[in-house]
Amino acid sequence: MLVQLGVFSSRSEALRELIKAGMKEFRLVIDVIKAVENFLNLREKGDIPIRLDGALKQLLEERGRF
Amino acid sequence: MSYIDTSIIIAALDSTDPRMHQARRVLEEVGDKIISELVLVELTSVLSRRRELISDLAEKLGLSEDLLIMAVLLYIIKRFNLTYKAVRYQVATLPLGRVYMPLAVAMKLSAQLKLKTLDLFHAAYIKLLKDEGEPIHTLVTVDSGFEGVKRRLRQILGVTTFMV
Repeated sequence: MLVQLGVFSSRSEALRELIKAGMKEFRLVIDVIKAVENFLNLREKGDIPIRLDGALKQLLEERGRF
Repeated sequence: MSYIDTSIIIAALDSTDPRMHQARRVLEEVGDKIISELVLVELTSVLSRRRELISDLAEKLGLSEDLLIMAVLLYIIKRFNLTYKAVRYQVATLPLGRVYMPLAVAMKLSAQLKLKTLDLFHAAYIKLLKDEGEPIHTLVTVDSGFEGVKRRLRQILGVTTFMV
């Protein structure tokens, strides 16, 4: 999944990084991947589960402040 | 390859903005799409302040809020078929001291582009990613801040600006 998502370029790179990060981090990564899969399943039911109403105006206004 | 600015991703998820469908269509139709760490930071900043959305989803999925935000970022990357590319960690030595390379490049470009800070950082990331071999030819954005510098972006960075 992490390779599919483009986070790592290969399975070996993903494994190397996860081993380096340790088991605790590995479990967290699995939780995150499960969440992404849930989002993708929701999308298959026709809805994008992330709605950011009003966020574009907010982003552009904040950029304008700098 | 197109560099995707944060603004078009947000536009594609913002049903109150009239450009939502067009932004979504562009993200779905454009081929190779690259994003930088700055896009991830801007998205994180926006998401972290959507308290209700994040806390509801975090509770539903049994994740902490910071992990939930990470999951949402990954979902967005997957949903729009984006590629996140980190720039190599480098530091530039300027007359005033050592500066992280994207910031140093932004400082260098500022005199030519005269953009606001975050737009300038995106321009710097485009330059760095191109210097590292990414064949970026287009900047895709809804931020009108880039409108006035289209010609200079083409001359200096070699990218065409596609405004939605």
